[in-house]
Amino acid sequence: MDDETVPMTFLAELGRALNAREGVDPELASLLSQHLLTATPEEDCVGQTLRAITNLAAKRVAPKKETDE
Amino acid sequence: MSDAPYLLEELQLSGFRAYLVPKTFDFASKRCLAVFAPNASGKSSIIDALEFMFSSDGTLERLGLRTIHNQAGVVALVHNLAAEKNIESFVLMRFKRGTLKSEALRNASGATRERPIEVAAVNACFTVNPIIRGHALRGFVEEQTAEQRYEAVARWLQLGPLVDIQRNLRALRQRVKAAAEDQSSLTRVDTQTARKTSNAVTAWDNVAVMTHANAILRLLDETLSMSSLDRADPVFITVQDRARAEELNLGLEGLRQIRRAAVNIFELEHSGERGESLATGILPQLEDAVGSYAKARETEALERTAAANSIFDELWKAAEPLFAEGTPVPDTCPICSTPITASAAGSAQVVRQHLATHRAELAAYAKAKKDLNAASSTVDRLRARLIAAIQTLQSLLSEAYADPEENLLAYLTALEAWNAGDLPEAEPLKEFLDKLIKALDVSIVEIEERQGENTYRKALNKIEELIELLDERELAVRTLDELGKLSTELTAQASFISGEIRKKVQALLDTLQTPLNDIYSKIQGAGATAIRLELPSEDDTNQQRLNLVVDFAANREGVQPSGYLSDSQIHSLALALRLAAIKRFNTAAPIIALDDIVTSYDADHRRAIAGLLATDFTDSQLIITTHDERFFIYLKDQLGDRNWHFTRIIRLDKDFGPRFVDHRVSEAMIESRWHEGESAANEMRQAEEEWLLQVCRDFGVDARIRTAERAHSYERGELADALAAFLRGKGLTPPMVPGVNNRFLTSLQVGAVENFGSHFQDGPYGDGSKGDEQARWAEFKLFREAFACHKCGKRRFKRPKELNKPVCSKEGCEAQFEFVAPAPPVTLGVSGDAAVKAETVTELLQ
Repeated sequence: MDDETVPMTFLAELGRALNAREGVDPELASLLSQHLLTATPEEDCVGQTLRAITNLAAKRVAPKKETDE
Repeated sequence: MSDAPYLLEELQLSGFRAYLVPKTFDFASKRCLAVFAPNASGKSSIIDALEFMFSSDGTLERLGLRTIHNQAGVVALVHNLAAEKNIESFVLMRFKRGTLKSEALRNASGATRERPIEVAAVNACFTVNPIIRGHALRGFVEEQTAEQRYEAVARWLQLGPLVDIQRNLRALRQRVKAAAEDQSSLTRVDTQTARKTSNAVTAWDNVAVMTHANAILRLLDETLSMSSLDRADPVFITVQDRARAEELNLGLEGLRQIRRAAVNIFELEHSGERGESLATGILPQLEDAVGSYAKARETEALERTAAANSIFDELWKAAEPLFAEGTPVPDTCPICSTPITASAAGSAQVVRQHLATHRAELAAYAKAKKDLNAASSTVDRLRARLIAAIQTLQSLLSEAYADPEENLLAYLTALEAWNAGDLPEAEPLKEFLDKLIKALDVSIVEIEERQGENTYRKALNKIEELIELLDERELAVRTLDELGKLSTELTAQASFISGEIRKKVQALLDTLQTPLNDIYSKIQGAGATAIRLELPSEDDTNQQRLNLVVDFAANREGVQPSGYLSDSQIHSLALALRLAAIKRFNTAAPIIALDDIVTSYDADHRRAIAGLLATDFTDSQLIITTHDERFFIYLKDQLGDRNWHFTRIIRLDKDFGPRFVDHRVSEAMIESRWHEGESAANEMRQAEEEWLLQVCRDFGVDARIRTAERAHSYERGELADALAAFLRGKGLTPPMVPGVNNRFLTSLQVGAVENFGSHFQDGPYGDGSKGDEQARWAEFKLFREAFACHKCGKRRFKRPKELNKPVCSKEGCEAQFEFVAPAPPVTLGVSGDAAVKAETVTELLQ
């Protein structure tokens, strides 16, 4: 098989292309690249990504903590 | 590493499926094989051997691993007589890759049945499953869903991980969407709202909750009303201030606590009707107890005097039974022997009265003493309780008021010092307590009338709980909103990813589309409608699909094949797709196994498929089994015999296996056996039978017509008899074979060879050695040489009906057959058992 059909190469390029898209949510794209866009995903990769997305949502809506200047 | 493809050089089945006795297929000289056989005669077992050998779990798809779900399990891999006949059950393959050779044996019995490493290496070259079974072809077009078809084809293209990504993305999208729509966090807030408002508000509602909060405040102050549930609301701040102030003052509960402590010591309850007062509490109880104690002391003193003679108590107690009623009265005193009548008492009756009187005086004293002790204990207990109660009240008053109460302290000091006699003066304490209780009652009534049980602290706590619930709810709403946005963004990103994957799959499919249609049109004819492989966009209701569509007519474009194509067209489509994929992607191991693939076709299509295989798959190693004789003949006609071996199974012997009509054993197969240190007896026997049959055919010998049960099979002895009779009839005498004890030919005629065990040997039932086999094989070859053309050396003859003797079949030679004197035997380590004994064949046959 030539390089063109090797998923690893393709997936790496796909991850870069996803991040380079205009208006893309980079944090979400990063999570997808990390957990799903791999030829050897974890067995519970869907559950892990879901938890990561839920945590991302919680982080974004959490009240800003006042920091001591 | 060689770039040459893997090819199968030998396949052996032993105790496997229909094959009991080991059967070897040699692909060394001719790499392709076509087997014709009626149904249920063992031809599919050859394909089964390939499937079994390459399977990951050592079974066949239709058998499964266990004998459940209507599958036969791995037990069915093994021939049912293998154990009884002590024949090992295995499949053996020999591969070559350029000049490199490898061998793999896989046991069909046992729990492990592990796939040999050598096979795994070959298997890794199969991008597409190289085994095509006719019965499964239709399913790919008709039974598989578009989703299943997409997954299967994508895996053919080695894009399985991309299919998994698409599936995972789809599952993730569904779960994130579900999480964004999950209202359980809001439901929890509703449940808490109902609990915190005592069901006044059963589900969160901003207005209703605000109204409830202000209703709580109005119980304290009619003027208090918050405009929002916010810690910055001015009214909330006011409530906080008042709660703090309330904590600094003595509240309702504090007053009630002091009152309970005071009443516990002393309270003067006034009766409304007769103006009488009743004192209650520990202090009056102690005063009563002290009075009772004084009386008990007096009584005890009196009774003690009356019982002054208690020293005689033991004497009286001992004498009482002697003078008891109904017992014989003694005549004399038991102590001094004075006659009773002469004593001061004068009679037993007087003695009995005297004893009773003194015993009663002692009992009264005992009771008085007991009462005194009880009164003393009561005084001690009440005194301790009173001291504790006064201390408690003192403590509460100290917390509420800065200065301790003097009357309380003075009485406490006196009580702690009191030991006996009259109690300390309690009137000042009683007056103080009476005033205190009355003052407390006034304060309590005043507070109760003003705000009841409500306090600012309680109200503040309730409102803070509601604000916390509001915060929690707003956080939940914001989280769900953010998850909704992420879900939308995920859909967009997943669509992009899946789209890119689809493009990649489509690009590879495009490389398949042209060969697919080439093959399809060669089977179905040049006018066949082209098939398109399309990947429609993934949507919410369907995962990625692969559509096989045809433009059937101007008004039926892009339609599903199953609705418009004939049975044979659908079959052809599936076959073409598989063959195109195998040809395109299995270049490193171009082995193709076709099991009964022409059941749906008429004669023209069968011929077309044979032609297709002849023209488009010349570089492949094809192994074909069929029960269709016409297809088999087409294959022979079109494929020629340069790279092909054609054979037939003529019957299936249950205690042997499939019987092949002419599967030739090659010299190389026998040499290979010996090279591996194994016996070649079976191969030799088969080679000899093959030679006998060929000579008999070429010479046109007469043979007895067989019974219907074995119409096409001749026993070795029959062939030897027929040949011997023919040679005698024609006056042809085989030359002697010098130095050879040719028992083999003798046994041929008498049929003794068929009773041999697994080896050749001089004794029919002894163990043969490799040397014996080699000697026997040399004898046979020497004998066979006598049947070569004396003119050109070729070994094929013919005898048309008009000829008496056979002639050489080589064009231009056609020399009449006569025996050639054999060359001296080649010595191959002949054992001493193979003793030299000069005999002619004729002599032996006679």
